[in-house]
Amino acid sequence: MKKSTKTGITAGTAALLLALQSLLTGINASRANCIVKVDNAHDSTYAKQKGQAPNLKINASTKCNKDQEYAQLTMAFYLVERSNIKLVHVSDSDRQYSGKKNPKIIYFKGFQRRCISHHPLKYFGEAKGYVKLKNGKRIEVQGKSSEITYVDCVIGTQ
Amino acid sequence: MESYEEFLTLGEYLTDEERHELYQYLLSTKRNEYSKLFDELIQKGTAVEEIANSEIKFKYTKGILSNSVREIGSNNFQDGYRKIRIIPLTLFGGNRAAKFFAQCEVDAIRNFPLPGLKKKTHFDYGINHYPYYELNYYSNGRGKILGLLAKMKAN
Repeated sequence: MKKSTKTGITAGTAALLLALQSLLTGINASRANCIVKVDNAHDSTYAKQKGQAPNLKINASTKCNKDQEYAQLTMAFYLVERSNIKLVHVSDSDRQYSGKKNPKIIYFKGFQRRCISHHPLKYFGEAKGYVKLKNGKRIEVQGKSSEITYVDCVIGTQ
Repeated sequence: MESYEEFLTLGEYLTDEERHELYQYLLSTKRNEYSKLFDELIQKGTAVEEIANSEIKFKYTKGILSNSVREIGSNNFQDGYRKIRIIPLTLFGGNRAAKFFAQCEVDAIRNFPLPGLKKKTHFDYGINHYPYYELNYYSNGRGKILGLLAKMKAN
């Protein structure tokens, strides 16, 4: 059997390695992967426009490399006071079904909590839940806001 | 609760609390309508009603009540993703059906609001996973006993 003068491997071994590599690449490409992106806490502009106390709002989205059937998330609102982190609200478990346009991304825009008074406080959100893909697979997701932000809002604790 | 008419236009901008308030409002003010709707369903098997910018079709087969929904003007009904088992001639049958109707109406208002001041930006179909009539809603899925305790605390 002929051997390469440079590497010293046979043509058969090289073909086998190439086949193995393409198999691994194929497996990685077909593996479903999802992430949840949690936006920073902010106040809802709509309520302010109406002259009412705003809502504390944290948007989120789930993004997958495969089509999603639906995503189900619960959002925890955290308040940061000095070095203490306090859980102040857990939203209802919300389920969003994917649209036809782009089923790889699902947006959650309903995580809001009414402000009971005004005072700048630091908040962040953490979303937990899962994504059900169109192929039937279920993938757990979890994510936090990338920043802790000041919002002029005090929310009632549960 | 703010005005009912305004809630019909808010859709995606309704908070968890506002949706729950809306559910309780619908349940307390539309008892007679729900009772008639339930009678129609038992007789015919299907019934359609309009709320906000949507039409809801209720279907009753083999003891299961389910819903589908569409935006007014669109061709096809889509699954509303709610189902409930109902035994019609029992004391609680009508009551359970009324809770189901109110929940489905809240879902429809959330997803297909009337045109209002605020533009609709969300076109996926969203629902609160645990309906307000289930104890699991109060415990966020951690079971009925915890739900019952949480409900008693909330009330």
